[in-house]
Amino acid sequence: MQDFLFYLVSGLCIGSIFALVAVGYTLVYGIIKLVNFAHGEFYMVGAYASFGTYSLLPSSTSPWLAIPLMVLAGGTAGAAIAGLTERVAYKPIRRSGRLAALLTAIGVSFLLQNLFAFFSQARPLQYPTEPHGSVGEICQRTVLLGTDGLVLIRFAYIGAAVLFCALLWYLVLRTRFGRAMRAVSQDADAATLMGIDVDRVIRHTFLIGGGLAGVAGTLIALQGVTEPMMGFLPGLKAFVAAVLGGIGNIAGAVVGGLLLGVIESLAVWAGVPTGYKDVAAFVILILVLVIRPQGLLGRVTRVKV
Amino acid sequence: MSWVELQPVLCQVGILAILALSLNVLCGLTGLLQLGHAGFYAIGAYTAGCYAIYATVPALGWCNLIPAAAAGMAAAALCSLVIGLPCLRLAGDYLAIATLGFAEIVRLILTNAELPGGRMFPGETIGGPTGIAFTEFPGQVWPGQEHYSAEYATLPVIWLGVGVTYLFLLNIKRSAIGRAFLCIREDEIAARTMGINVPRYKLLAFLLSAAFAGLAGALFFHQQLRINPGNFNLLKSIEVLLIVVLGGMGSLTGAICAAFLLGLLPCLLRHLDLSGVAFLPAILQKPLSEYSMLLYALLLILLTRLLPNGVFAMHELPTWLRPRPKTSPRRKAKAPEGRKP
Repeated sequence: MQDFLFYLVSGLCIGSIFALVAVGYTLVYGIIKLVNFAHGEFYMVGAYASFGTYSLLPSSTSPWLAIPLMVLAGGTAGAAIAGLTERVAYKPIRRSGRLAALLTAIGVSFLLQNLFAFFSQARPLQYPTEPHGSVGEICQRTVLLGTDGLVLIRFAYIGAAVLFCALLWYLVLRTRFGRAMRAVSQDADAATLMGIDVDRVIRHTFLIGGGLAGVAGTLIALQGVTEPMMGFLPGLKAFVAAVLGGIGNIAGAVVGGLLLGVIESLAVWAGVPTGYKDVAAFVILILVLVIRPQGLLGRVTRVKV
Repeated sequence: MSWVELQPVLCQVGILAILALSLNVLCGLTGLLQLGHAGFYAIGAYTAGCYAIYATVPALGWCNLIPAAAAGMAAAALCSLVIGLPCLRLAGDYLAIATLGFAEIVRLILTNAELPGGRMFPGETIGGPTGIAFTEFPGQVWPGQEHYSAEYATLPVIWLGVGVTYLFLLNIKRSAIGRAFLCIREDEIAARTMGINVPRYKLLAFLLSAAFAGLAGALFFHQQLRINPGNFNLLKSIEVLLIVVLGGMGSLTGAICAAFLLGLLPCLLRHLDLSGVAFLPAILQKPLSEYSMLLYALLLILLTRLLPNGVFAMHELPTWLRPRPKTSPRRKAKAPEGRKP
């Protein structure tokens, strides 16, 4: 039973990360109907930026100052790369069909992965755990939950997810910009007629989504490794989470992310071999697409002539 | 570049060409975006591998290739039904992601599952991360056949496979089936109105595409004789998709030409070296082959922007090579009637 608690909590932690990334997916999809394959790469760029910040900071910096700074840097870098990608790659092909958009997104994803692999010599980076009280050591500290030790920093995932989702909820439902976002997602042409600068809304949506992915990447890398391919699988899983909750629906993305994390974790608890853990996400994806393509919280849209 | 060096590269080009041709049926002709082609390729290769391990009859020689290829094609086609049936309702991006998910499931299962070694490798297992190797036989299996090699897929055999695939699919493209595929690609609702059974044709496209991917897999196994799950990752699917886009969605000739281009590219790049170029910073001074992944990605982005229809569009020959009709029907209509030459 205590085992169950451990897997449940650890699933919620990783699910929070999925939720943070999935929200970005769903925001972008809601507004320009693009499956942004490169979203996982924003996550990876965030992790690299925070590592860069860490190595720039003097070693005497208190980790309680360093970690927030690194998260900030990761978020900023994620937002910056998302904005750049939107401007350079997605904007010029916005009108040329969904296939072109999807292919471009795959291309951008591969380009970013390989750029980082090229310049980092594909060496995984890890925060040194050596001096007691350093960033790396603090992030490896565990708390005993039942019989297993859960890495303490993972609770920060839940904290970050709650914080940023609350901010996003406020932004989307309570501000003028949020109203513009909702208008564009309903009908971009009509929104233009109402005097909304659609380009600006799209740009800012990418910035928000990229920022959230960057924060998520930073948090994951704090206790794991930073490497060029790190964004690929979480990116795909976050997409599964977004589909699970109903793509284009922000609350759905959060619910889907948490659910996916818990399902994956409980699958291991129930005796599924760890090697097959990743299969669970894709099986869920195909099941959802077959049984309820609009997702848990989505609404059915009918294609009309 | 010597012939010995070029031969395996040309074999790879042939296998890529079969893959691209088969993907073209689904992506190019029917307009169903598929990101999991490597999954069917893997199923074909592993089926051929299992046939080789469990059921090879050495006395049959190269004839073993026929049941192996047939089994590979059948297994891939069967799996395409498993994924195709539930995915029929999906369109566009969703289908792409679902097929990607399918390919990842296949790859993860192949990485994790292990089979008994049979009489070939008694007491050992095959599969798993190291895959299947059919090169060294620890046990004495067949008396008098110690140096048995199943390397049947030589260059002519592979290109024979390309030819068969090309002709078969070209005939499909030019038949009523092909026209139905094209109609579904252009407008699904219109196709339905014209009385085309859309789900049936979509499933047929899935089947055809998967079967030939299975053939490519079987040939790949019999050329390499060692395969592992790493051969069939997402990168492979993307590479094949890139070939289809470059050649032109729906152009079979274009797919073969693009397979040549992209298949020979890494080989050419290997012979160019930037490590001696003085004005470049040290980090860029690498053999050009290390740039090939970057190049692929850039090519995909630039192609979709600059050449959205590919080199051949959907025709079998590019515009400037196509024979022009003697008199266009329009000019004929304009010509004054009743006048003698």
